[in-house]
Amino acid sequence: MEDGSGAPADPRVPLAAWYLQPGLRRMMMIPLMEAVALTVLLLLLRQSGGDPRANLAESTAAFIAAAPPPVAKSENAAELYAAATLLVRPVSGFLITAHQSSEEMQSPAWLENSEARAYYSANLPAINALLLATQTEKCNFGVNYPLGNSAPLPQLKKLREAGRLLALDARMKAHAGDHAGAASTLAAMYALARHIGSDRFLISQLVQIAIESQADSTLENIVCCDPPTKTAELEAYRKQLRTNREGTQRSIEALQTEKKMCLMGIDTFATSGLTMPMGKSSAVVNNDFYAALLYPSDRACCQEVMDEFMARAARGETMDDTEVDDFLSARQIGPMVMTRMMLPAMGRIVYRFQRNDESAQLADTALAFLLYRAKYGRDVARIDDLVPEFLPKVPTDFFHHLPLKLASSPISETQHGWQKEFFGDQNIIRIYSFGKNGIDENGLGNEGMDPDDQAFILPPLGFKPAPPVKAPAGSNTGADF
Amino acid sequence: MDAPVPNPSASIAPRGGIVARWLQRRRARREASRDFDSRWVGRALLLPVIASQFVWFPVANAVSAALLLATALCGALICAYYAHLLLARLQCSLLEFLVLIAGLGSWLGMLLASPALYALGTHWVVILTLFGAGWVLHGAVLGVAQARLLGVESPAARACHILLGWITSGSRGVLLLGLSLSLIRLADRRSFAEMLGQRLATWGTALFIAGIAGALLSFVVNFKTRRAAQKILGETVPQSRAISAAQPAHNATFPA
Repeated sequence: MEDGSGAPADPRVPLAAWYLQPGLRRMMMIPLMEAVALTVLLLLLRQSGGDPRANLAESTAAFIAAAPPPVAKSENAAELYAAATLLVRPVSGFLITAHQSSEEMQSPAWLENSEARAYYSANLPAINALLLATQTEKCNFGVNYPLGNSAPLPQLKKLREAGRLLALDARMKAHAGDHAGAASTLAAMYALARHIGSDRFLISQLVQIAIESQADSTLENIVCCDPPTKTAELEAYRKQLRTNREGTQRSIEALQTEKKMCLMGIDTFATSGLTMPMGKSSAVVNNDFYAALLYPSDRACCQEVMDEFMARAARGETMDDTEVDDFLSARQIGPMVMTRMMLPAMGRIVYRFQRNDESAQLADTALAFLLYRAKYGRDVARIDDLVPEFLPKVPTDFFHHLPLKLASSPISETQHGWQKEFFGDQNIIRIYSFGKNGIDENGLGNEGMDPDDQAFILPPLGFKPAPPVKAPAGSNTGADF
Repeated sequence: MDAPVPNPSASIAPRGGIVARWLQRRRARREASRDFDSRWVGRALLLPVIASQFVWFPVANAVSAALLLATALCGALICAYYAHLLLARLQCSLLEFLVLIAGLGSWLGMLLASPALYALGTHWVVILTLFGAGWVLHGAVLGVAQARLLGVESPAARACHILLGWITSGSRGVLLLGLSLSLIRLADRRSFAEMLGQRLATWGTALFIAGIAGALLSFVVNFKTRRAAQKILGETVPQSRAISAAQPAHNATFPA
């Protein structure tokens, strides 16, 4: 065959024309290009994390097993708490701020505030109901464990509020001179904390710690503002103080539960359409990609990191955020999206538990110091002098096992606002530990900051606070408890 | 391919302005490739290709399932189109066929041996297998076409051209992946390294460089092949446009 010019046609003409006229072939390149990119990514992440559905069944069963044992309704403190929290009268206006601000609430002036006292009087029925509930031994809040980290925990906010009410009750009783009653209320706060901690959710454990710390802080405020002077009163406080808080054991248990919950969360995300902040994801597409590309390494990393956290908690080792970052990076075997989102805070957990243990130890040492003062009419110069009559041995801190220290100096300008006003330039007594940094910073500092000494403040010898006022009618006494 | 085919563009002497000439040339090329190309596949592909671009977005499950089906259809049509070109139109040699089988086996073998693939579900196994085969066939067609247009005769060189076809057609996907990983890394280095891992971050750079190299190679080979194709069609190559404008009769003739 010949072309128009009579020359023999090149058999490659159609091919050349086809090559030069890509047309729709360009369009085909788009999905081909995406498929090549996805396939290369799959080849880079050749991994297997087992069957997410089988893993989910296993992790859900493990998490449900962490639920507290069932309790009969008649023996369940949770029922009484539910009834008691219904009696709580909401605060309004000025009192909301004052009530929620721990700084203001700690101030002795707050106890004299008419609105504060009205609030206290209005909430006495709730306080009485709460005190009754704390006397019950068993507690099960009936949390829906199969929901994992989506399980609602409405009781925590209400019981945190209840803890504040009990702290107010203890302060009011001590202010009225009823130290035995105040000690009993503090004991009720520790019982409330224990009940909250019956659920092994990490958030429950943290609320437990918060209420225990609040009880310790309330004791410190009582000792400063309305100091008990009689040996019997001090003994009552010391008896109620919960010193053996088993922070290490509790932190390990909390981490165990958190590990189960994290694994369950990862398995759930890999197997179902979990509602995410960007909108409801499609179970057909997006979670499949998570399951294929990210899930195996994410789950493996989560398991390994949580196991290491627990091992470190058992050794009493803590980690700050930077250390946690390095720690996670060192164990990263691939993408770990969920692990990175869920676990960084875990490094601080052990620290928080140890700090809580130390708070109890400082409170106990401070009460021993006051007992010495009550008995001999003078202060000891060193904590060693309290051994063996008031303390079996010199207590040491949890971070570096260094002995607690005693110091006498004025309140610092930057810390303890109301105490600065209350004590003026007088030297106050600080019983303190050196914190995580292990440096003696004269008892100054805050948790997680530098300086980070943890101190229990005591009034100077012979300090005379304002005379107590009469407690409002209907207030509990020690005898009621 | 063995029978000589008339060149419709040879009888058309370009007249008019640039646009008119371009349209004429385009029409002539389409006319010349009419019996070679399978246009119906292109038209059938239009909707599935568009649908496949929406498969990444979170939508209702029923819509998502429909999009996945359309994507699988798109992959199957691409396979059919290039397989038809390679086996029926280009009538590849036994050597080229063996290289194709080796490439197809290696690529799909690697893909199907990845445990992660099965976690994606059966629908994605089917889609990625079809598109993987589509890419291999596309690269082979590209390589065979380029080899023939460039007049490559040696069997080894033709096999190399098929390999080159895979590299150049795959380079865009590699560049896309490398660019995505590198851009995320540049935009949010810390989170990227933390969440996806340092290994993947390093791969992002390597893939980006490989993609750029592949794209450059693709540009060079494509440029040479286009010039060769234009010569075959008797079209003016860009460099000689000024000369050819002065000698319009040259455009209407085929090389001997």
